[in-house]
Amino acid sequence: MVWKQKKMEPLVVISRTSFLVSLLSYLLFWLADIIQPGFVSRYFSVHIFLFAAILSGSLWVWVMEDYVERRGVHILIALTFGLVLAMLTWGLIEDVGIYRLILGLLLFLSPSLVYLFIKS
Amino acid sequence: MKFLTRIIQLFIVAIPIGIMCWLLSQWIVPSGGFFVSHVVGEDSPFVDALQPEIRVADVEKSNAGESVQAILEDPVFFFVHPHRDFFDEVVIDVWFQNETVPIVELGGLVRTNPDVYSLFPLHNRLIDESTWSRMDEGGLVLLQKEKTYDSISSFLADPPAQDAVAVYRTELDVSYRLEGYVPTQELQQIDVSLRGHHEFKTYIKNEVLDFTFYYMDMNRDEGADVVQITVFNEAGQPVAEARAADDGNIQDDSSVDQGLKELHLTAYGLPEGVYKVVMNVPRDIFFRKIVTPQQKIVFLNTVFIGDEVGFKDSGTGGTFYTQSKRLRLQTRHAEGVQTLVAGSQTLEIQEPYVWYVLSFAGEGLEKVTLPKGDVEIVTEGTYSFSPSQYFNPDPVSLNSYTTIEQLGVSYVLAKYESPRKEGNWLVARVRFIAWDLYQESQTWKFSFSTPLIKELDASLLIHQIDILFNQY
Repeated sequence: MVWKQKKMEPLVVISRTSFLVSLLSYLLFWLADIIQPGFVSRYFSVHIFLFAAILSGSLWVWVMEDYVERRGVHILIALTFGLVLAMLTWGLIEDVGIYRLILGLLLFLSPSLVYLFIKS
Repeated sequence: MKFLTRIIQLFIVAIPIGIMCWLLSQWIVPSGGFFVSHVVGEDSPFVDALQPEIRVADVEKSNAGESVQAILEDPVFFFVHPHRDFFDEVVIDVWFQNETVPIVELGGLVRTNPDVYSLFPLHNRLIDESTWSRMDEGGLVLLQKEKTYDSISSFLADPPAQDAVAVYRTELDVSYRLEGYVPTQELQQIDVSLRGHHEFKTYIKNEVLDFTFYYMDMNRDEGADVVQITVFNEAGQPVAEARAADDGNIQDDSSVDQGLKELHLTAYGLPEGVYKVVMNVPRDIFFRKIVTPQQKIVFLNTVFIGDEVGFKDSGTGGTFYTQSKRLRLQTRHAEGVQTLVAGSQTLEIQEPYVWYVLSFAGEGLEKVTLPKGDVEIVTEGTYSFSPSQYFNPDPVSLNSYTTIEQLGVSYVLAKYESPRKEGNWLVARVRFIAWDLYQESQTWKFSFSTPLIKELDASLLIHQIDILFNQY
């Protein structure tokens, strides 16, 4: 099969690129700052990338004409995000006994539940 | 259009990559030097604001629109947080204005319990404003009342008598000799509780250096309490040492089951001269008695007369003698509140954690009697615990409390470089060896020393602190 790229408006391409780059940068810089505290936050707030992602994402949604729903990808992203949340929760709260497991499970499922709620 | 879109996409992708590369270069420090500039009043992840707030004024704008903060009391400190722990040197440039304070110094915290700072001069107005003949050479300054020497090298090669020279932040390499000193076998006792680290000097001539230290490990703080006592000769070389291991109790349970312990320090065949003895111990170690045949013993700079809880039923404090004209005293406990007697005057230590100043107007040896212990005493000078033990092995030091003329000397030798002028500001540079500094949670503490600033109702204006972290 020959790859055939759908023709898109330049603004759509740019806003999509901006959104994806901002989101990926946010995750990477945030992760770097967690691994080495102060690596990023000594110089600027990592949330600048989140702000950029929200702005460019909003723009992308605004200028987008066609939308292909990829349910499988959405669920995968939600589960991955849930896993990250569960791991963070597990690491941050050590002294709440059995609630640690319950909270971890709840946070693991919450992105998927929110996604399913929105879709319904 | 497509090409332009691709260029913009490339630019968008390049931004975070560029930022990450820049962050990595900040982290790795490939050049070996990392520079931080901090203007007072601005937030910095590397340099904290001046503290405590009650000793500094609010940050204001000068007529030239520059931020400035006044130091009103002594001491004022700030914390520095390097982002890496591999730096070998910290070079600090302080931008300031000083119209009144005689001597301004910057110190780096090198030891705690009690806190000890390694101090370096920022501004010495006594030297800078002296009318004596001045020479600068290799970081040294020589002031001469009457110009006798053509260079500092010739001064150092053929120095005058020790009592003709005052020093500031340096030492004069002139051997001190006591005329008519005759050794004796008569034992002397220092019956005062000395808590923690102390340093003293003693004089040896055709005799054995012999000290017996009676001490207790009070186990009030956690950690091992090793006793290490080292003797240094006039060249600063260690010539003898005595050590004792911890009592095996590293808890903070105040248990003193092992009671009074004994440590002997002996050195044979030492040539005549002044020897420095460093009692390198933590605060849990209380020296209760020192016995020695040495006749001359003076303690240096800081003495901590400890409490006698767990040793005697009632505290006896102690009496000491000094030629220093200004002492600072503090207790850390309510039990240490007391009224001391110094010659014809008394001084009340009214509350813990407040430094009280004891000043003397007269000349010669002063006697100070503390009815109770638990008092830290700090001075730029020496103390003895009997008048006969007192001697003055070091040249007189130039400090904020006297003028050069009052010292009665003809020369002043100082390790000092006058600050350079940058616009309206004086900029002084101080270098610290990073490994000497006490570090906790990757934080260093620096303190401005501004003696007399409150008494003179003066202020020191700080504008900027630049720091260069160097890795060799």
